[in-house]
Amino acid sequence: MKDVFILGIESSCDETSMSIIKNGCEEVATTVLTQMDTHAEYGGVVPEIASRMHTENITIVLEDLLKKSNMTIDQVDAIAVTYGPGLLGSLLVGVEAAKVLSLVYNKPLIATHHIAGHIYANNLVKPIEFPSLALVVSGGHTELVLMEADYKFKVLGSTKDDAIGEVYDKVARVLDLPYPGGPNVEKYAKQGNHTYDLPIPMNNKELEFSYSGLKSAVINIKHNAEQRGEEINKYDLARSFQDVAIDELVRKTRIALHEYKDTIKGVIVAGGVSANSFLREEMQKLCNEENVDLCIPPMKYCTDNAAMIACAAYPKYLKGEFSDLSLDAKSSVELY
Amino acid sequence: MYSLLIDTHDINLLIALYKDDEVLDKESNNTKNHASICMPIINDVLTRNNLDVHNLGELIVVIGPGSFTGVRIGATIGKMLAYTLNIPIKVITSLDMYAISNTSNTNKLVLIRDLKGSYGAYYTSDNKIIDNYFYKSTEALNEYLKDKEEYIIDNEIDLSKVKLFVNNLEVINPHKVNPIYIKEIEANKDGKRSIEPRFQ
Repeated sequence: MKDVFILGIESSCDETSMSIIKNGCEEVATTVLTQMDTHAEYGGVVPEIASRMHTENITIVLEDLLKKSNMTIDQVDAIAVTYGPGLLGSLLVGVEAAKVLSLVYNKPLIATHHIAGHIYANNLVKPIEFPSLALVVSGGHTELVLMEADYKFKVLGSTKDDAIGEVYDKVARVLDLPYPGGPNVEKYAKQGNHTYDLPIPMNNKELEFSYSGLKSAVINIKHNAEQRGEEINKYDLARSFQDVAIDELVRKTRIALHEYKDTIKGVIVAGGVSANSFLREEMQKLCNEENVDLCIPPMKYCTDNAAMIACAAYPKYLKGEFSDLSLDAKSSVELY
Repeated sequence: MYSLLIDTHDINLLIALYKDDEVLDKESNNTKNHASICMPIINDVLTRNNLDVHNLGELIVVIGPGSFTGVRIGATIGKMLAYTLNIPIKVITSLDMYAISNTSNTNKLVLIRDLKGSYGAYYTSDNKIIDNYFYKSTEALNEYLKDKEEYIIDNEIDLSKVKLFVNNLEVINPHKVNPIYIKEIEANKDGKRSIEPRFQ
C-alpha cells in the first residue's frame, strides 16, 4: 500500500505546532513553537495573547516544518487540525490555516479531537492493540476509557468534578508556585515527604473520580496554617497531595483491569498529565504487577504537539471522514 | 491580474474580487460566523467566476481595527494564502479604508464603534491622518467629539477607491501580516511583550 503522509496542525492552547506523520505512526518532522515563557509572566495562559501569538507565528511554524521535513505540501495526502476542545480564539487560527492548505493544495481536511490526539500519540511508540484500557488525564479530562477499536470509546468512569490537571494547577496557585503549575508541583513533591494527612477521594470500588475534596483539603491546610501564623512546608504538601492524587488514578485503573482483565490487551496513558514522572513510574509498577502491557508516549508527545493530531487523523483518513471549508472550532466538544 | 480583498473586521464580512482595478465580483455576509463562512465564500466567489486560488495574483487584507477574532481570521487566511501561493500581499486598516472611500472636502473623522467606545482616526480631506489611530471609551469619545462631531463620516466602502489606494502601498512579507488591535487588553496594557515564543 502507498504510504500516507498527514500534515497536522495544533493550536488549542499556548503551543503553535505542525507535524508531518507517515502512516499514522512514524514522525517525519514536527515543529513546536511554545508561548509558555510569555504566559508564565501572567501566572497562566492569557487567551487573547495566545490567539495573537498564534496568528503572528502560523506561517513561521509552517516554514520551519517544511524546512525540517524536506517535503512539500504537495507530497502530503491530507491536512489534519485540532478543532476542539481548547481556547476558541487559539483553535481558530489553526483551523483557518488548515482550511487554506486544504484549498490551495486540494487535500482532504480532517477535523481532529485534541484528546483523541493525546490517545493516538501512543501509536508513535507502538500500535494501539484493541481492546485497550486508556487512562486519559489532562487539564480537562480524568477518565478511564475502554477503547474497543479506532474511535470506539466506552467511558468506564470519569471525574464528577475537577479534572486532575486542573487540580494540579490549583494546588500550584495555593502553594504560590509559578506557571506551568503541574510540572512545578511535581518538582516540589520530589523534594518533600508525605507528612500531611489528606483524604482519599472516592474511597470505593466505583470507577468514578472526584478531586474537589482533595483540592479543598489542600486549600484548608494552607488557610489554617495562615490563620495560626504558621508557614506550610510547600515541598511536603506538594508531595502529600501528589501521592494521594496519583494513587487514586492507579487504584481505579487497577479496579478496571481486574474487571476487564480477560479482554484487555494493554494499558495506555494519554493527556498532558501523562508527562508526570511519578504517574509514569506508578503506572509501570501497576502494569508489571498485573502483567499487562503499558504504553505511555515519550515526554515530548505528552505536551501539546501536532504529531499526535496527525496520528489521530490517520484512522479517519482511511475511513474517508473529511470536513469541508465550513469547519469551525469548538471550545468544548465531546470525544466519546 | 486578479486580486482578492478579505475584510473581516466588522460583523459584515466582505470578500471582493478584482480584475486589475475593476471590481469583478463581491459578496458580503452578516451572519457573524466568520470562522465558518469566510473560506467557503472565498471559494464560491472564485468558482463562480471560473477561477480558483491559483489564478490570484495579489491579496489585500483589512487588518483591523475591529473584532479581534474577526481580524485574526482575515489575517490568518490572508497570510497563509500569500505564503502558500507565493503571491504579494498588501494590508490596509479599516479606518483608512473608510476614509479613502469618502469624498467629503472637509476634515473627516472615522469611527468604528463597539459596546464600550470607539476606534477612530481623524483625517484631512485628502486623507492625511491628523491624530494617531485611537480607541476611546464612550466618555472620552464624547469629550473628544465636542469640536469634531460635524466631521464624522459614514462607514461606507468604495471598493474601486480602495484598490487605487492599495496600488500605491508596499508589499508585505506574509510572516509580518498581522492584525492591528489598537485596544490593548487588561492583562497587557502597554501592548508590549518582553518574552517572545521559542521553538522547542
